[in-house]
Amino acid sequence: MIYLSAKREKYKQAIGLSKLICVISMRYGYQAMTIKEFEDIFRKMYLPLGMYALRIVDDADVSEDMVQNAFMKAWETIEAGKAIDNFSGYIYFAVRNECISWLRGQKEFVGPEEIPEIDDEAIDTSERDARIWRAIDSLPEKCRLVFLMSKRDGLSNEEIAEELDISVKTVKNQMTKAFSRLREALSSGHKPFYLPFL
Amino acid sequence: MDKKEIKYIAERYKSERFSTDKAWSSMGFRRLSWWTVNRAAAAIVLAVGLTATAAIVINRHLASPEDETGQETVVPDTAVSAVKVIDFEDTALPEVIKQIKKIYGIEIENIPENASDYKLSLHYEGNVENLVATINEILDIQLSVKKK
Repeated sequence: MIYLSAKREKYKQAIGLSKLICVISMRYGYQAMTIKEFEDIFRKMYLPLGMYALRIVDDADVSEDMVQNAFMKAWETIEAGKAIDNFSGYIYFAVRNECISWLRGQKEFVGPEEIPEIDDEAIDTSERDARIWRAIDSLPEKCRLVFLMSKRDGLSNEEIAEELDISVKTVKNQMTKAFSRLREALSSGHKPFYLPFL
Repeated sequence: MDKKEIKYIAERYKSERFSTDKAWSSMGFRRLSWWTVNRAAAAIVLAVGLTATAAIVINRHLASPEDETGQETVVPDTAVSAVKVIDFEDTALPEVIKQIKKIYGIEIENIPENASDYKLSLHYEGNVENLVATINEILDIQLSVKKK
């Protein structure tokens, strides 16, 4: 025999397994979105939202923090039993607000009016950036190294060849391979289901 | 293909960033299968808290006359099927495992490295295999019972 001794006041403190308890709560009608639904959306939107934040804060680590903060706050809202009508729109605005809050702490911040509004173009850009990021992620290791040395670090083919102790021809081949993969990734792009929310 | 956009991303690219698995985990969520969720809901399962307190363990070997004398009974051949009662209150998983090993006279393997992250409150009466299976299902871990 196993019984549940739920302690609802601890939900917000608990990590990991507390989510299971939240699922149970949800099944008794306390929550508007299941954790599975939340996770599905998280997995679909995490990278595009990260790319959206990247365009604002210009740092991958910071943008990850911004997106995670936004999702955590969204979950707390859901956990509190509040309905979020348009989650996609909500989470984009939440990420934007997180970025603005972060930028306020930076010396160069000039004001929220300088942050691009969330519109179709911004979302398209996020989606395209996400495809590029994912394509770079999926490149074979050596190919990715050569590509990043060229495009990120600004090294010439000759410098890369010398650095990696390979021929210039190999560098060119790897670059061709990388661009081919990126071209494939970009051409396979499509508008995701959650875009038409504005 | 817009080389300017590719260059923009390449210049900011860092390996192992934007992993959804890592992010989901670092946010404190664990992946739950529908099977786990359904079983959990059907069983009306466990409570989990963060505050650690000492474990309260009641060991009652129902079939053993030695229980009346309060002596420890270790019966390796039947340890796995022995029915016993255990209570934990906000207890860390390593302590839970320690008590299970002591009470049932078995060894437990495949303990996750982050075992101390989990804390349980539970009342259980039954054999160790079902107990471990239940904990595995709830925590999404792979503890296994090894007979002594």
